[in-house]
Amino acid sequence: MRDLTSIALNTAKRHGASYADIRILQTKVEDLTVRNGELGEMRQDESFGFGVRVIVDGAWGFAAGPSVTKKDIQKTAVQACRIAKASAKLKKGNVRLTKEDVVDTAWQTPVVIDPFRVPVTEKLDLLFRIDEILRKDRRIIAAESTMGCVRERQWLATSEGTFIDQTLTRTGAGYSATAVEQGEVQKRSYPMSFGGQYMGMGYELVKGLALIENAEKTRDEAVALLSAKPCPSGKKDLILDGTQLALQIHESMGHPSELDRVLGLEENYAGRSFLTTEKFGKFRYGSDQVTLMADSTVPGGLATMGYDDDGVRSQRWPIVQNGIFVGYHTNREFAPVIKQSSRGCCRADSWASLPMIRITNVSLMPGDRTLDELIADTKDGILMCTNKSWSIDQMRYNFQFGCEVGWEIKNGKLGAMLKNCTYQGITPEFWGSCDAVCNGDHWTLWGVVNCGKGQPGQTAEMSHGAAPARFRSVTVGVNRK
Amino acid sequence: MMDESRFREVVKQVMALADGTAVEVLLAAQQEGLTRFGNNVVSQHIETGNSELVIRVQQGTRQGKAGCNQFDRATLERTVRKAVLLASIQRNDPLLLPLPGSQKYRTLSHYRPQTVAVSPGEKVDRIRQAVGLCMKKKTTAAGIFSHGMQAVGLANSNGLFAYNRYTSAGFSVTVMAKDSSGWADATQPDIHDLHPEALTAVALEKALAGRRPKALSPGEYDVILEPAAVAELLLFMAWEGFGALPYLEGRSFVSGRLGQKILGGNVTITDDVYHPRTLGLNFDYEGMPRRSVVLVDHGVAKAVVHDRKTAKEAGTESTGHALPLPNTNGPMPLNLVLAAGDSSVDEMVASTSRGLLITHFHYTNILDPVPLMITGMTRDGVFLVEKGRVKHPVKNFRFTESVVKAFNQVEALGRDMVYAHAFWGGGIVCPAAKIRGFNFSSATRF
Repeated sequence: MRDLTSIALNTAKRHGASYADIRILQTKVEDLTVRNGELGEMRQDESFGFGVRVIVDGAWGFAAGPSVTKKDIQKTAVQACRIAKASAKLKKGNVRLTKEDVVDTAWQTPVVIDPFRVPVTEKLDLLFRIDEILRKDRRIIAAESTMGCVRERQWLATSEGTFIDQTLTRTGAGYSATAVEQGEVQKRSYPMSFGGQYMGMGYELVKGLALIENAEKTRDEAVALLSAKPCPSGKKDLILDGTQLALQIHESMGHPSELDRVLGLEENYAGRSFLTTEKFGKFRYGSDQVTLMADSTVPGGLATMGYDDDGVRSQRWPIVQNGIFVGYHTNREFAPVIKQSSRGCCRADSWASLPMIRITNVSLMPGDRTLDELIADTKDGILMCTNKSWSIDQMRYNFQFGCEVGWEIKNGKLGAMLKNCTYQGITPEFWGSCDAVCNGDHWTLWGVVNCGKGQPGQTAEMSHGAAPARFRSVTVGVNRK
Repeated sequence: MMDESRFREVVKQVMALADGTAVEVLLAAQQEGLTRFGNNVVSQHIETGNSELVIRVQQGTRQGKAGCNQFDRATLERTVRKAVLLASIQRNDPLLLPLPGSQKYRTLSHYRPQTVAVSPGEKVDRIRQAVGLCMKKKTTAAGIFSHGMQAVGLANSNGLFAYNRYTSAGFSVTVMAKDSSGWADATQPDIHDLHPEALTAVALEKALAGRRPKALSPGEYDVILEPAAVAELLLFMAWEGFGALPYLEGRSFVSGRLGQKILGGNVTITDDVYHPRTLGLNFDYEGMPRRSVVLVDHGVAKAVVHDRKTAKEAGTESTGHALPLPNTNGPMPLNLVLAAGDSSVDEMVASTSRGLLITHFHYTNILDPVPLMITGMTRDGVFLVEKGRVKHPVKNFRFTESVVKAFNQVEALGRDMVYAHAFWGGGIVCPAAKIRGFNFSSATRF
C-alpha cells in the first residue's frame, strides 16, 4: 500500500500541493433481516477505492475512484489538484491546518468474536427464532429482526509523513414488532429503535443482548399499546430512558457543537448552531447535573478509533462541564478558529467521500440516583422510552421527539401505559431543567448508526452513553389529530 | 463509470459463472461533481464516481445476494460464489417469485451529455457570480452546485435486460442576512437550464425581505406553501401511504379506503416517471416497466403501487415500483406528481385575510402513520399575510399536523409546477398550495 499512497502524494506535490493525503479503503458489509418469516434483506457486499485530498493555492480539492491502480491514482491526484486550483478562485484566506504529530502506526477495534466468522446459518436461526416469538400474536402485522456487521480497513498516508493502517469493526442486532388494529399502528423495538443496538466490537455484543429473552415482552408491549391511554397534553416532569436520551444528546448537543456547523458551513442543508464561538467556555447550556463528555477512546463506541481521517489521535474532552458549554467537535482545518489543536473528529463515510467534522461518542455522565428513587421522587410525570420520531430546528433550539411508549408517574408510582408520547422543548431550557441523572449501574453506551450530514450526504456512526434522567415541567403530548 | 456495453459484458461473465443458476445482476453507477460553498467562499469541492454490482441468485424458492465494485474475474467469481452459498443456506420461501422474462419499456431519456462535461473552474465561476450578488448586499451565501449522471442496469438469466441513465444538475443556495435567511433550489437534467444567479437572486430577495422578523403566537393559520413545502408533505404520503405493503398491512391512510374520497376534491396525485419535469427510470428493480399510476383522482383513492409480490397478494399486476429485492419496505412511488391548479402565489396571497406564506420546511418527521401526523420546522422565510398583502416577516414555527387533514383543506393550487426536493430527499413535482387551518404547535427563537 505504501507504494500506492506514495504515488498520490508525490503526484500531488508535483502539481503544487502544499498538503496531500490519500485514503485507500476496503469495506466489507453483511446485513441480514428477517421480516414476517421471510428474508427481508440479506447481503454481503465489498467495496474498494481511494480518495485523494489536496491543498493547492490555499484551497481544498478532492477526487476519488474505485480503480486502485498506479495509473488511476496518479490521474486522480492530478484531478484533485486541478479542482483545488479552481476552488482557489473563490477563497478569503488560505486553508491552514493545525500542527499534529506525524505517526506511522496501526490500530484496530478490539474484537473477541469476529462477526464475519460466525456462520450465517447461526445468525439467521437467531433472527427466525425471534421472528416466531414476535408473531405469536395475530395483531403483530410486521415483525422485523435485523443483524449487521461492517469491517473497514483504511490506509491513510499524508504528505507530512503520517501512515496509519486502521481496521474498524462494528456489529449489531435488534428487532421490532408493529401491531395494527382498526387503523391504530403501534410499535415496540428492542434494545432500541432503528435496527437495534450497534457497537464498535464483535459478535460478543449480539450474544450479550438477551435478544430471545426480551422478544415476548416487546411483542406484548406493542399489542398493549393499541389500547393504551394517549399521552396527555400539558407540562409534566419527564424521565427519559437511556435510549431516548442518546438521541436527545445527539441532536441537541452533538450536532450543535460541530465547529464547521457553528461557522455556517452546513447552513444550506442541516443548518447552523446556537452554540456560537462567543459562548465558548461561558454559556450555561444545562443545569449543574449536566456533564457531557466527548470520547473517541471509550471501549465499544461506534466512533471509537485510533485516529481520525486527518491522522489525529483519538481523545476525551468535555463538551459541557456541570452545565457550562466548554468544548467543540473540531478538525485540523477549523480548530485554529478557537485557538486549539484538533479534537480528531474528521471522518468520511467511504473512500468516495470527503472527510468532515462528525460527532464522536458523546455521553451524559452518570449521577447518583437509581431509577426507582427517581420515580419515587416524582409526583406528576411520565417515563418515556425508545425513540420513535425526532426533529430539531436549523439552529438546534426547538426540538420535538416522539417515543414508542410511556408510563404515567403519579405520586411516586408508575401507572398506566401511554401511547403516542411526544415532548417538545428549547435546548438550553430543557437541559437546564435536568435535576437528576441516574447512576452508573443504569448507564449504557447506545449506538446511532444513521447520522446524516453534508452535501452530498454522508452517514456516520457514533455512540452516546446515558442513564435515565429527569427533566422538570416539560411540554408533553404535542400530537394533534 | 460502467456504461451499457461494459455492463452487457459483465452480465455475460456473471451468467457464465453462475453456471445455469437463476441469477439477476443489478448495476448502480454514478459520476458526480459537487462544489460546496459557505460564507461566500468555496468550502468543499469534489469529483467522484463508482459502479456497484449486486448479484442475486435464486435456487428454487431460496435466494442469496452479494455485491462488489471491482469487476475482475476473481472478484466476480467470489461474489457469485457468496450469493450462491447464501442462497443454499436459506429457508424455503414459498412466496419467492421466479425471475421475470424480457420486458418492453417506454422510451425515457433524461441524459444530457453537457451536464456531465463541466469543469471545476466553470462551476466556481458560476458560484462566484452568484455569491457576488450576496456580497453586494452584505449577506452571505452557502450552498451547492452539483452535476453528474446516474445509471441503473438490470439483467437476469431469464432474458431480461434493462439499462437507463440520466443526468442532473442542481443548485441550492441559502442566503443569510443578520437575522433572516432566504433559500432557492433547482434541479434540471440539462445544466443549461440551471440558472444559479437567478436562483441566488430569489434567495437574496427573500433574505432581505425577512429582516427583523416579529414573533407570532403558534396556533392555527391558513398557509400558502411554496412548492418545496408542499413536496415535504407529499413525501410522507409516498413513504407511508401509497406503497402496497403498508396498504395491505393496514398501516396506510389508504388501507381499506380505495374508491373512497380521502382527500379534497381538488387533489389529484399520480406517480409518473414520464412527467416532463421529473427524473427517474422507466423500469423498476425487478426489471418491470414502470407505469404511470393515478393514486388519488379528485380526492378519491384510486390505487397504490405494486411490485410483483404485492400484486400477486392483491390479485393485480405489478405497476413497476419494486425496490431492490429482497427488501422490507415493499414497492414505493418515487415520482409523485400533484396536479396543478389555476392559481398563483400572488393570487393566493391576495385571497388571504390572515395567514402565513412559507418558503419550505426543515427536518420533518412522522409521528403517526395513519393520520399521517408529521412535525417539522419552517425555514428561510415565513411571512404574515393580512388582508391580501404580505405584511411582515415572522420568526420560525414548528408545525404538528396531519397531512391527510391538510390535503382535505386545500383551498387553491398553483398553476406552475416545480421539481422539488424534500429534506429527506426524493423529487416531487408539485405546485404551490393554499391550505386552511394548518397547525403550528410551538415557536422557536429566530
